[in-house]
Amino acid sequence: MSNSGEKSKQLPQSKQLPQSSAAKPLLPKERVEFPKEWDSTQLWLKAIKYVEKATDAGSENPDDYVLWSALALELLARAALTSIHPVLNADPEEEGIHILCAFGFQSKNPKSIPIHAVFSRLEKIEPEFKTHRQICNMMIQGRNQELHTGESAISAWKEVEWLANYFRATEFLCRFMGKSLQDFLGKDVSEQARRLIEMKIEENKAKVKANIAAHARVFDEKMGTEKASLLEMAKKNTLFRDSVLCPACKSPALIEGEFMSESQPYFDGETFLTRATFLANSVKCSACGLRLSTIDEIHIAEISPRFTRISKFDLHNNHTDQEYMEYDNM
Amino acid sequence: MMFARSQLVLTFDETVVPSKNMKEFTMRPSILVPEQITSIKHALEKNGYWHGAIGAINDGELLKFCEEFGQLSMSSRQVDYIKSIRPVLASQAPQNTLSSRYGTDAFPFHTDAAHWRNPAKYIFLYCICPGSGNRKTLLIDLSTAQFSSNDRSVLRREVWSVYGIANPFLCTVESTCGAEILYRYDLACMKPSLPTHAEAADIMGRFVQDADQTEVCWQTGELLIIDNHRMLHARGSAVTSDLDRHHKRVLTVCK
Repeated sequence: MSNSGEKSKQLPQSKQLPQSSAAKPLLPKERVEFPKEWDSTQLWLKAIKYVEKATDAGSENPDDYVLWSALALELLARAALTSIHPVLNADPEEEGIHILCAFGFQSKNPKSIPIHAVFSRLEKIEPEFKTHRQICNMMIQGRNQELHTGESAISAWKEVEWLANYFRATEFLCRFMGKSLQDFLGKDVSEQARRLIEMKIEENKAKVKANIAAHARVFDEKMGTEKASLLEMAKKNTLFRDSVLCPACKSPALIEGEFMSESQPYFDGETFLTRATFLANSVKCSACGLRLSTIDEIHIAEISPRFTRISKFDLHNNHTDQEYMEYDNM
Repeated sequence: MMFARSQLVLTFDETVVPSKNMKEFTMRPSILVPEQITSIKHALEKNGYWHGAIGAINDGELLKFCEEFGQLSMSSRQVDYIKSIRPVLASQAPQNTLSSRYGTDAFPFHTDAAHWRNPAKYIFLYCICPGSGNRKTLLIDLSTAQFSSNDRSVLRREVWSVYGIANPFLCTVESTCGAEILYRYDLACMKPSLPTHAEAADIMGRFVQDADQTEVCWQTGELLIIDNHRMLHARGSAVTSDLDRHHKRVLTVCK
């Protein structure tokens, strides 16, 4: 923790303690650890303060409830990002002056990245955040409309449309920092939030299961020959591609996702291979037409959201081409 | 309310003084050996404070001794690591200080440097003159507090503002410094940031009212070291005017 809030003063020589004889680094005198503006703890506390204002507004002032909630969300997201390192909040423009600020080279007005960039960076760090992008974008858009236009868009918002997903997003961001929803909302509100989240999860579960059941029923009612033909088509579509068993009709279904990580090359006895891990965001079955479009839906369908792809690793990729002189008998 | 005097046994030169219920130790910081420092640190860890007679020392020796416990630090209003502490009439006190608020009266229980982002870990109070008023320093150990889990949750979550400084910031009454619990509490520079966040003030107020207090009586040449992350301290009241009371204070932060 930096020793901020108090300055290091130059004492009169008679009162100075013996100095080290080691050479001093050539750094600016006023260098600090990082800007106070990007202190993750301060952002976290401010987020709590704003969410308390939202709670105080409550159902009597629904517009204020949405607005303060949106402001709290932005602060919470920045707190999560800066908990990794404050530089992640720095605007990369102006020849990196704000990035330098994050490393203690003081700038008068360190500039933060816009909130959509905060969300993008969080998603890069933790792809599961993608599940919450929609509600985060919606909250920020509502805030912008409220603050920058004459429109009263958020007046039309109904809690049932946003609140549960908002709590899910804030819970994710709290967990990102090793904290709980109770740490953020307090005991009473977090209990209400937990109930809302569980209700939403149950609602989503019911929708997805009903969707799967409907597709299964339609597929089952088809003629045997048609089913066989659809199965063949599904097999062809998924040949040499990532696939899973469709939860509705049990045909091979295409699974797509975002790249997360890749292992170091390993030797399996015959060749070098790498294992790439992806986070699924889509499952499509060409046999019964089932579509699962979010990681939540995939999870509810009891399909593992992470899948791997094993690829051959060509050692030649790691070596520069050696130039050689072609044989010439001249 | 019980008032327990500190009684610590240290393993270096000691002379039992029959008139006092406290062992008096003679110690020169300039000849302080590591075992003595270790012993004092052990006492600090156990009790949250250490009180002993160290005799006459100069400023350099005092600072050198304090450096064994952390990095010297001072407020932005100071010009020296050593600050003279004397009772001052409110009308004559520097602005925006406890003295400007309370004058020569008792001070409320508080932690020092609550307005620093990184509050001081140890307070060193060296007595130059105890004063004519038989004024004591009072201590409360927060590590003995039987806070309920709800109370603790409030102390850790409720957002307070530190004000009256160039760069106000947010804080909580209870937080952590590494693996250690840190308390920050000074109503002269801290207040709940929202009207709905006033529970922590009640919790602390009730605790201070009911807690056991340790009284430190002063003699010239005595040193009191307080673990400022754990202990609340207060200046007691004087039986008579004691403008002659004089201490030197040094603060250190975690290295």
